[in-house]
Amino acid sequence: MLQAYFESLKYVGHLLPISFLRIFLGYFYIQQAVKDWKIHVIGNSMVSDLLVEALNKTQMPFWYRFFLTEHLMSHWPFYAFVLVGIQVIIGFSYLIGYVVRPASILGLLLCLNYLAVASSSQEFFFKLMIACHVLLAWVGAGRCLGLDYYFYKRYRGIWW
Amino acid sequence: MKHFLAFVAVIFSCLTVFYFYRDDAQTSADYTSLKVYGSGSFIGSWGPGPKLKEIFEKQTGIKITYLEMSDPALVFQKISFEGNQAVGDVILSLDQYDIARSADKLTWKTIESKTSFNLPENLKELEKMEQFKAYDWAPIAFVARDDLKVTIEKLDDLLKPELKGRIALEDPRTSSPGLNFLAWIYKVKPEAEADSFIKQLMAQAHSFSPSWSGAYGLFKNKQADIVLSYATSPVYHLVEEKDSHFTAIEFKEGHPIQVEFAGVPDSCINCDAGVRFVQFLQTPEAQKIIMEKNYMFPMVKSVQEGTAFDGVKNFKLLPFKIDMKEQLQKWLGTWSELRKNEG
Repeated sequence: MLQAYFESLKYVGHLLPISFLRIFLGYFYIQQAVKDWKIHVIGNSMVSDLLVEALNKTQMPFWYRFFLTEHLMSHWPFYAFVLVGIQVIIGFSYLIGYVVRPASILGLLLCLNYLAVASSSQEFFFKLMIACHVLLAWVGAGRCLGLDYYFYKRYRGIWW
Repeated sequence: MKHFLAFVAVIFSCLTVFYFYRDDAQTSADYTSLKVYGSGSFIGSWGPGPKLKEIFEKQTGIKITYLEMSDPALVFQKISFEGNQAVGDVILSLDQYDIARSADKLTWKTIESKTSFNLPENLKELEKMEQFKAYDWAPIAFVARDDLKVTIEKLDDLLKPELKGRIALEDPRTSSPGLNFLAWIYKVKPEAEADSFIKQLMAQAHSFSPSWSGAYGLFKNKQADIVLSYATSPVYHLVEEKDSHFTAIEFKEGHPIQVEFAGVPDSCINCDAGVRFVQFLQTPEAQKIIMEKNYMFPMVKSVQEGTAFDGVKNFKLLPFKIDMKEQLQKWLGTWSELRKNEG
């Protein structure tokens, strides 16, 4: 597996710059997960500022506002745990280059969700993140400097 | 796909194990520390927060953790959502408009002042407030360079043709000094006259910046000749930049004042320490630090003796009172309507 990890440089070396972007994003998500774990999961269940701000947005579909107020806010510790879990999944996946394509889809969905609640000043950031996730999924960024190359060689398929 | 599902399962299993075997000390209520919400300008390294924290911790042994807030209304809403789980023993950097518009989202502790003040007559109302304690104040005023050729003595002078496009103002919807200015106009003029004045001012102003710092930046870059700021702003230039060419302009109508308050919400965990911290903010020692960092007048008059603040002219002040929420909304509604038509 380790041999395949470095061998990928030889065969899909053109993806190397994108791999650096993938690894950076992985680090970013892990860092975010650690922060959110401390604040939202074990830190007395502080509701995310982003959600509080979102409820003040006038343009939001009724069903989404209902979901935020009736479910997410009232069961925030559970949802915070799930959100941190998703961040860890994306973070580790990107760092080691394992199951990058499905993880990118997960990241895309997470960012779409954030886009719905984000203020106008944060929208640009989440749009940029969506572009990154789409790019990583499109090129299969785990195949260079990642474990996906090893599994792709053995199993083929669109998930690597 | 099997690999991915297995990966997800492993991650969540690990997190569950971490969650159940976490250090319980982190989750139980901590009575030796204090969580204090404050604006970036208060708790940042350039603000009074770090020094106050150091002294308070030394005096009481209670550790302070600052939490930055951008909008007090959001923090009130957040605390109200979190209920008994809320974090935040003290909320700083509140102004009279935050109190008027959003403070009723929460219930607050009554705090007794331990320091006696010697405030101007028009500010006596501040001493009667039981739930929010003021820790600094300053009159709202226009600031100019002393080479300004135009004579300005009253609000109507702002409409002089020489000042067209040279006044930096703040948007009252997003800036507290901006809202204070709007309230000022309505307090000293009859409603119809005030509406007409605002309409003319919109054509006269350089711009309405979203924040005080934005408007002051325009003034500093000489894109504007006068800026809506505080009567104490020239002290900043005098002390920090050794520049005495800035002056605050006195208006005949009298000046409104901007006050900063601290409060302790009922959802506090370490309530006694929170109350102690608010009382500490009003002690002469803390007042001196706040005055020197925030460039606002202290509540304890004696603190400013022998400092650059002694040189600030005593402006005629309008009586301080907390405006009604509905009144503010009405004024803002009119302002927005006029602005829309202007644009």
